[in-house]
Amino acid sequence: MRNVWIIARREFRHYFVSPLAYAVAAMVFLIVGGIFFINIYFGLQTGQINPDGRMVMGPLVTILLFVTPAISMRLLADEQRMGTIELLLTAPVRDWELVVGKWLGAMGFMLLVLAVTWVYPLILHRITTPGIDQGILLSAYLGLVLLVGAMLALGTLISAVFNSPVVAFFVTLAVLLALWIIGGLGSGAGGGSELARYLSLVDHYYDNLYRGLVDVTDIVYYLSLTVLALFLGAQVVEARRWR
Amino acid sequence: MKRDWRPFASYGYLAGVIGLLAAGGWYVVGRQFDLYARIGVGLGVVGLAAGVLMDPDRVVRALRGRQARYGSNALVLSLATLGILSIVNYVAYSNPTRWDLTEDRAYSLSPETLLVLSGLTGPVEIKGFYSPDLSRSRDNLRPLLDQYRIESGGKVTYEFIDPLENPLAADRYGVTRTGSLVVIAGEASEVLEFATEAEITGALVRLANPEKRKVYFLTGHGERDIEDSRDSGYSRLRETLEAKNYEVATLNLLVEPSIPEDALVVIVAGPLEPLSSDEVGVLEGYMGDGGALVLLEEPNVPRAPDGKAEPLVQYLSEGWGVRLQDDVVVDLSSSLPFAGIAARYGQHEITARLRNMASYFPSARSLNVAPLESASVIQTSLVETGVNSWGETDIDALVEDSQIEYNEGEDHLGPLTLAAAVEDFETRSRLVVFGDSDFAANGDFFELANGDLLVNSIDWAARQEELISLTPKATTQRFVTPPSRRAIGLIFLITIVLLPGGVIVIGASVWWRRRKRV
Repeated sequence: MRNVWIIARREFRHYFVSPLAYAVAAMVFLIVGGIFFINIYFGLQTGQINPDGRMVMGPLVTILLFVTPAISMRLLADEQRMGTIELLLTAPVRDWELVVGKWLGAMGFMLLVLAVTWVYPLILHRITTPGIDQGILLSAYLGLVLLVGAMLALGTLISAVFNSPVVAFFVTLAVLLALWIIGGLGSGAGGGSELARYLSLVDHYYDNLYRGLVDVTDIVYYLSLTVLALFLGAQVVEARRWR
Repeated sequence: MKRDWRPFASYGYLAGVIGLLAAGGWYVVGRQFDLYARIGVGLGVVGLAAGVLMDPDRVVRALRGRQARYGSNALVLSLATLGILSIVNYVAYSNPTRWDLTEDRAYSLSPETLLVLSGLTGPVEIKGFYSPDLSRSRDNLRPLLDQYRIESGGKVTYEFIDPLENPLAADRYGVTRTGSLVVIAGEASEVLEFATEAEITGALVRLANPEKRKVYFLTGHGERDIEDSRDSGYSRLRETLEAKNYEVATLNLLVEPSIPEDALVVIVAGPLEPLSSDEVGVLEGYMGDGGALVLLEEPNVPRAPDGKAEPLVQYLSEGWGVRLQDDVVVDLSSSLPFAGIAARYGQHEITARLRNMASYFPSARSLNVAPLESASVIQTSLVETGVNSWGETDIDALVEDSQIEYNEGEDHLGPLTLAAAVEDFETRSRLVVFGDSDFAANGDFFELANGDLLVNSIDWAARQEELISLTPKATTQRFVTPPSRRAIGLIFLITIVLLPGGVIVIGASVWWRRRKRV
């Protein structure tokens, strides 16, 4: 377990010296902040500001769809590209420790970004009487954490498959989009449609967690997806040993 | 000499894969496993088989090699993990547990509903008929229906059906409008126009206690025919009532001068002949015993020859304070001067749910509602016209001159009351009077709120709303105080300048320092 922490910390620190991470974070805050401010400003003109703490969370989810592949793309692909993967594989680090550690480091960075976005509901709370609905906010953020965890896990898996971070980025993006759209196939009534609806990445978020309903099914879904992706990632890393 | 087929094995595999993919694509597009799909699959299998046959060694090596051994191990482990996770997900999906974190507990069912659900004896199906343009309402409804499903332990199940795609199902349950729910318990079903907790639980209660809910339409005076499906008939009203699980029958007081015991509501729909005083006496007795009456009266044209007040008109005026005026409503707010347009609804359960939709009343007479001395009789004016209206009393002038003008002192100045509801709390009886019967005829039943108005009136008269009363849920009113100019400036500073800018500054400094070091 110690290995996991060491690798996680290293990756986490790496983000703070990586220009890409700063660019990504700045872009997220600029866009989300812009949306927030425009909502408040024009809400004033029309005299109606929606006292919903999730004001920015809809756009945020869409932005995260593009941001998480950027954050996860280099996790393992870089090592493979630079050739340092052999070093890691010969060290007394187990494959799953490597993968989980990388994922955890990326997760730490994204959690920090999400924590900073808390500023917006906070500001809204200060100007709302009697305050915004904090229960819904809690549920929505919990959902966001689960969603990001699953997306990063998928990104880590794909990063392990490819040697190029750029390829990993686009493939991750494609996979996430596929999981996003698959919900659309589930509008019918049959068993296949139900399965398609179940697999949808964002439906599990918007249907319940976003509304303030914490359903065990959704938690299980995201955790399963994360576990499966990390497990497969470990398999892929191990495959490198005998490729 | 035997030809060396081995290089061609790859083409075989390629052809096989293409064949299978093409067949798959064809199937997805055509949704049918038809001849072309079969050909594709056949070719695919043949291609793969050819590939194997042309270079069997390759296959053997692949299956036996190191990669295969480790690879198959990884594959088995992965499949096992996938299997375990699928089972875990399925278990969680079948036994949903959820916590409602909203401060208003918006998604939790009220204790009355939970009680009803715990008493359910058999499975209940809810079918929601939502067309694609109402997908938003449908998705908003899902959490509520999920709650019913979860809290009933799976006894209540639901599904959504597109009435445009599946009109037969809609017809089967008597669904006329998209956005309706049907609650089905065994053979009985009930259509709900409003998908709220109160309505659904109400339907569950009614279906669980299937006592006959019978309404009687009076006949014998040329009233509207509930079997008549022409524009002037009332068959649509009957169908709507039956879809709501009412039993509809006719009643002729001239033949049998007594109201049946099981009459929940008596409806008099546009009699062309006046009711006799005997009949009115029977109705009086019925009302005095806690009955309910819905009356739709057309303008008094042509007038009774001796000008004597009809017994029914007298009874309504003296017993209930509702006087049917001898006029014809003229309303200049629309291009049809003889149609009364509802400009305002009174505060009443009947009109509470009309979704702000107007209603119109072709050829109507106005009502004069005057409070009685008795304190136990409460009257409410349901429908009022706008200010551009009056009740024209000079009928002959209308017919002859076709010139309409307001005559002060003779005509009744608007706004006019076109419908009124009265409740006598002492006798527990309810009365709804309309100055028109055309508005709910088949031709106009589905226009605007016309049909709803009459159906709601019958529901109210039948005391539908008393079946279930839920503890009201408090919705916290949240109000955003508009921030001052300084506050806005501060918000701008934080969200647009400091946050992104701070990140950029830190990032730039880190980058610069690294450059310096290297």
